[in-house]
Amino acid sequence: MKTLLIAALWLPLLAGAAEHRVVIDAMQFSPQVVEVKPGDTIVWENRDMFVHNVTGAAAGVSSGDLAPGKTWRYKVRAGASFDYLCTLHPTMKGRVDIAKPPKHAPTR
Amino acid sequence: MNKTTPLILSSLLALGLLSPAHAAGPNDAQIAAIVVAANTVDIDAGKLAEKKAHDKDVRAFARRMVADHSGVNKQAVALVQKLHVTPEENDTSKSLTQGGATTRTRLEGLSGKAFDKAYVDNEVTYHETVLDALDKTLIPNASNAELKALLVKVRPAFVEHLEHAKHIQAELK
Repeated sequence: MKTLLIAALWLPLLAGAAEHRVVIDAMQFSPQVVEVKPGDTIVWENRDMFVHNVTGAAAGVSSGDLAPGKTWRYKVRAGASFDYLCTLHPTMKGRVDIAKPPKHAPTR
Repeated sequence: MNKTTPLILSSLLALGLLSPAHAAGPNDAQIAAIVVAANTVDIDAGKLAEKKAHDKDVRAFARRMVADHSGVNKQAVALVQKLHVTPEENDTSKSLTQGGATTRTRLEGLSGKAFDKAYVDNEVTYHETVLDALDKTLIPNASNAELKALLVKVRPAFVEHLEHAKHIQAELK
């Protein structure tokens, strides 16, 4: 019964992969920290007048160069949260916080 | 007086004319010419550094300066064409161009680490001075809303470039 209850609580999370938008403008990532869960998608949109990129070397995340007006979609995998930056403008920094699944994940 | 002082002086001289000598403030056509001259000076210095810089971070920074400041100039030229404004050369834009040429001549005579240091030191001073000019002269005096918006829009790039240059300056020491 307890397992069923936990499963019921966890199901909406599994079903509802969300999409998060990060705007790149005025030499900033906004929001600077995006809170996501595995399976979600993050869309970075370059609204600035300069080329930027999204690079989290430790997490193996790399958008390549994004010209003004371009977007880049990234599907979040399970794993550690990571910091990223624009290697072209290294003072531009952001972070992806990945939620951990509950310790007692349901088993079927 | 250290070796970089003449470079810094020439930059300051060029942009220093923006404040006290122009009590009335430049008009939009003059601002357009100042913006184009300021960006061109940094593009030209960047092109030289792309070829001559010793350190890979300095070369990457120079490449970025050429790309970003070319982008600003492209937008500025497109805007003045749309607004039917003809950039009007003035004492400030002419001094900027002349100061840029003086800086390039001095940089051309340097090599290796001395070049890197002189280029980066000059970039720090240049971006500080342009930011000061943007805040005190160019943005307050721009009367056309789109021109003012463009200046406001490019300001964060000058802040980022300044911080980036300061970081490299610290690394080179």
